[in-house]
Amino acid sequence: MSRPEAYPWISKLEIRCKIISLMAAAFLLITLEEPIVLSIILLGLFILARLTGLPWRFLGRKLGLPLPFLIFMATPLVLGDGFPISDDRLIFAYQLITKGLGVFMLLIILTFTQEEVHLVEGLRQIPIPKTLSAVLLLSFRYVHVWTATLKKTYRSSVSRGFEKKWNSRTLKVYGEMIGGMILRSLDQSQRVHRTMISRGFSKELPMRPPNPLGIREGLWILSLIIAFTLLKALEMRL
Amino acid sequence: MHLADGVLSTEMAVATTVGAAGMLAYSLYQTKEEEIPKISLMSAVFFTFAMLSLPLGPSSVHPLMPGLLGIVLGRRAPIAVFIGLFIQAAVFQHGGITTLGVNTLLVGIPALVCWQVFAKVYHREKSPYLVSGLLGGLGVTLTAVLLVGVLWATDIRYSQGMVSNIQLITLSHIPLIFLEGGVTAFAVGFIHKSRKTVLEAVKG
Repeated sequence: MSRPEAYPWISKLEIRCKIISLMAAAFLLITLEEPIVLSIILLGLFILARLTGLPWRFLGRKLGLPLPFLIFMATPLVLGDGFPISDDRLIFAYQLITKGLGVFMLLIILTFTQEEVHLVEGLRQIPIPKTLSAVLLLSFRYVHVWTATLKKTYRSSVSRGFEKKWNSRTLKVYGEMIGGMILRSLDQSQRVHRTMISRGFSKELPMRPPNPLGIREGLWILSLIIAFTLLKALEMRL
Repeated sequence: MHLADGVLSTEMAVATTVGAAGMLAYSLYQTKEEEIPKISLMSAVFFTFAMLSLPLGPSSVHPLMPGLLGIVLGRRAPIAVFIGLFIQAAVFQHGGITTLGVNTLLVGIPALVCWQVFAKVYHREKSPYLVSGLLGGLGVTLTAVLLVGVLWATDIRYSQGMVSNIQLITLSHIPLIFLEGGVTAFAVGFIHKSRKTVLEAVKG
């Protein structure tokens, strides 16, 4: 799915600040229980997503990703005990769906308001172990390589009469395809390591220094804290 | 399957995130420089295959690969699991952020168990098809057991009713146990035939 073109004000936020604040917001969101409050949050996140320039159609298509999983989890909660459906189960299922969609909206806002490369750079600027940071950067680069390789391998298998169904023959094909890719990736990892060593690698890949935090970031964090405090207060009153 | 955001209670989300951080610290301990490209590439492979949707009746499943990851990466498998899941969540919005910890544990713990078992029983002169097939199935079984345990501990309503979430999840994992057992057997068998040193390295 293509990335929307315009990234207005939110893309100017310092990336570490945006990542940490949106992840903290995700954990705070799941602490809320009141259906009305959760509905307000979901509506607010839709408005925020629109203010960041994400088109309706794009949002609609993206929301199609988590919905099947959430419906799969919510349906037994609603119907699993037969009829009549209890209010308790209905509310629990509603909480599950709104929380799931709410956090998903936060992820969409985080992911699609800057380029992927800046997101990775921002993640690496968060204080995490050097090894994890290096693995994250290299993995991001190789994900695209392997996705393309897998697609190519699959297309060539199909052109030779391979059918996408389950039997002992296809299991063997899938298994050996994975085994082959693992061996290729191990070979490539040795080449990558040799190249990195020749460039002076010692567990740490170079990165740009993080941008300083400014008034914009302060206002962003303050507005998130105020919004959450108000919602928590509303929940306690209901 | 990976748990989506909203499924876990706050307490469970925090506890599993802390648990996953502990498991990652264990996996990262004394990582050598030369292991970094290998773990990275395997993370990318894990991510790629976990995105593969395979038809199964009216629905579809995707490989979890705890057995295979444990056999190939050993102690470092949870790092690949975490990075793979993180990329899935951040780039493809598949899985979740508040459930990243639990999803890492659900695949990482079975991977470590499979590694321990494989390291004890693998021998270069013996065919690994049966052992790796059983471990492929064991990995998915352990994932399903842990998943059921997490849901049960999160909220009792996931296990209540004539058709509960736990019953559905258990049923949906049964075919995957056999499919992944088969795929792991052939993948490890292929590696054994082509390059035994890869499997011997995991024995340590």
